[in-house]
Amino acid sequence: MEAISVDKLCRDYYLKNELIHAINNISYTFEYGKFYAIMGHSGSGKSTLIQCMGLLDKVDSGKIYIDGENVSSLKEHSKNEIRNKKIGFIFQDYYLNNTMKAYENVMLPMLINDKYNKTDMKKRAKELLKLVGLEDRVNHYPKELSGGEQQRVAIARALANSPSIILADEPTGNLDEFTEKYVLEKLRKLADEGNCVIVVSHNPVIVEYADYVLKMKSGRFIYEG
Amino acid sequence: MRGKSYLFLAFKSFFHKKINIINAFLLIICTLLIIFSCSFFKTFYTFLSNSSTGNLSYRTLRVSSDYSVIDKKWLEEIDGVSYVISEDEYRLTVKTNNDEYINLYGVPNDFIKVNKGELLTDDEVIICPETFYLGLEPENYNKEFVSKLHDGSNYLGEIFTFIINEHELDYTVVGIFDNDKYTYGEYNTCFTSITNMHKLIETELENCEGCYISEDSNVYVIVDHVNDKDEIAKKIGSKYSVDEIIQINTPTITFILSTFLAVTAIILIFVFIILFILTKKFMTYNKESNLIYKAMGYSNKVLVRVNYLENLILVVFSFIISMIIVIIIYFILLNKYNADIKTGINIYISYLSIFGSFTACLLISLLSTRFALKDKKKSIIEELDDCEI
Ligand SMILES: Nc1ncnc2c1ncn2[C@@H]1O[C@H](COP(=O)(O)OP(=O)(O)OP(=O)(O)O)[C@@H](O)[C@H]1O
Ligand SMILES: [Mg+2]
Repeated sequence: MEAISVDKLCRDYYLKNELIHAINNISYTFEYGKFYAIMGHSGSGKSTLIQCMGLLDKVDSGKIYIDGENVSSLKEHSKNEIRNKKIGFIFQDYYLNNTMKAYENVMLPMLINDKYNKTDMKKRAKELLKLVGLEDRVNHYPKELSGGEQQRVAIARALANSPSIILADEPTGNLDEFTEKYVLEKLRKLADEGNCVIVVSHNPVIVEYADYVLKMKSGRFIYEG
Repeated sequence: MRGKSYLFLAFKSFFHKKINIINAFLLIICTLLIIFSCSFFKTFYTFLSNSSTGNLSYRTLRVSSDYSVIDKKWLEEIDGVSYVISEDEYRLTVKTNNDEYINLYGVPNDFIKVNKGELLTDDEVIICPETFYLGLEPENYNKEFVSKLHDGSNYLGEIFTFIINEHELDYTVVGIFDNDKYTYGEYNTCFTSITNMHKLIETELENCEGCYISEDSNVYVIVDHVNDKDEIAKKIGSKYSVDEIIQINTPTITFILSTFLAVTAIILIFVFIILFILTKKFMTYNKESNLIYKAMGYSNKVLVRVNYLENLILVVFSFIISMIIVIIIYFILLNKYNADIKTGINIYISYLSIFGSFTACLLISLLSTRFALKDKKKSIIEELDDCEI
């Protein structure tokens, strides 16, 4: 089933009067239950694409459909709603709030979701941390955690509102091989559970986990398979 | 989102940003500058204006005439004159049977307003100061002097026996007056009625050959306000010769006060400018943390509110710290000062400046948050226009 689909998507940047096509007319459909790997050289437009699909960046032309709904023309508050409930974001730099404990970080997306009250939130945050193997790090601050543990907290946070689409921008960029394997396996499992998982990575090992590998160059997919 | 969550986020965000330490530091410095410059001004203003209006001697003119008897009625009828008294009956230092000394002045019965007790009458009564020192005024206001300052209220109803020329005269303390209002910087001065003063001085002169209270001696004219003194002196000067018993230069005091005021104002203006420039610079959006909040689905409205709340917390936090510092400094100053010297300067804190500095910090913080939000370059939120601040 179709999760995100982009249609003739374009995103341009002007840098010192020079036009850069960060995304150059991409059309593609991402499906549920599949693991997509996006690869390519630095500056090829991977981050821009994933941010556009996650409604974090505006597009210059083209359309984005999520669950068949054209979201590029939606009002801001509806976009927020989609970001909150349907999409889970994971970044290379985990962007945890250093003054919050691990479970409080995981609670953040739930704070603006009316579905949960405070006790539910806490309970769910702890469950999610258990899911990523951090049940004994619940009350730790990010500074007391290793890079890999921090990224796992970030993954738990991305899963807080049970999104069906996971967008990850180089989630394993700062991790060692062992933790990288753990994180990729977790993402693979999420795809097997029926979610749409899209991961940007430089690392060729990702090919082992992905159903589809998309190669980008100058804002286009040059290889799909 | 619930109010509690806003507070939670604002507090966490407040402690998250290191820049808030600098912001708080700046706000504290500025608050302290405002409060201390205003309090300094208030302290000196009160000191100078009290010492120029409070001390009776500053309000007194000596009128003399070589040729004629001075027309007291005429003097009394001049606008702004409180009362007229002959030089001989003006003042007397009396010794009590306990070897204590009191400076006595003769005044009209209703001239001195009392804080406690009753007004003067022609009975044998005196009224004494709130802060009372029984002795000759010392050369230095040292620790020993301060230790001998008494609460005048304890003497209410007390009978002093004055020893004058081997006579014993009993006088009762019936009222207590405010030192600052009549005898600024004097602590051993009491007042009695003009009639009593006359009696006491007659007793004093009893054994003195050729001494008498002269009908045509010089007279003292006491004016209502020190500011009117020059004008009244001019008026009297057309008929008699006039001089001041203690010279006080009101234009100089006015000049000193306006200089202080100007300096305070300049400090305040500088503080506001510095505060404004710096906070405008520092109160920026945290780009990265906002990216992640946006990714989690937070709306601009929520982020903006949290940002405002965070800066509000910053202001309150800095204010509390400033107040603690002010209180500590004030008590250290007060203790040290009371222990060592008593010069007649009371230290004041300007309450208005406390209120003012808080309002100023609040206003500037809110304004600069607004500016930071409006400044699109500093903001990751591209669709800020969509949201109402
Ligand atoms: N805010 C921006 N302003 C101007 N140009 C930008 C901006 N963001 C990205 N670009 C340009 O768009 C192009 C694609 O950038 P993008 O970040 O998507 O690359 P990437 O594939 O993620 O690279 P990397 O692997 O280094 O993360 C680059 O040429 C970059 O210079
Ligand atoms: Mg990138």
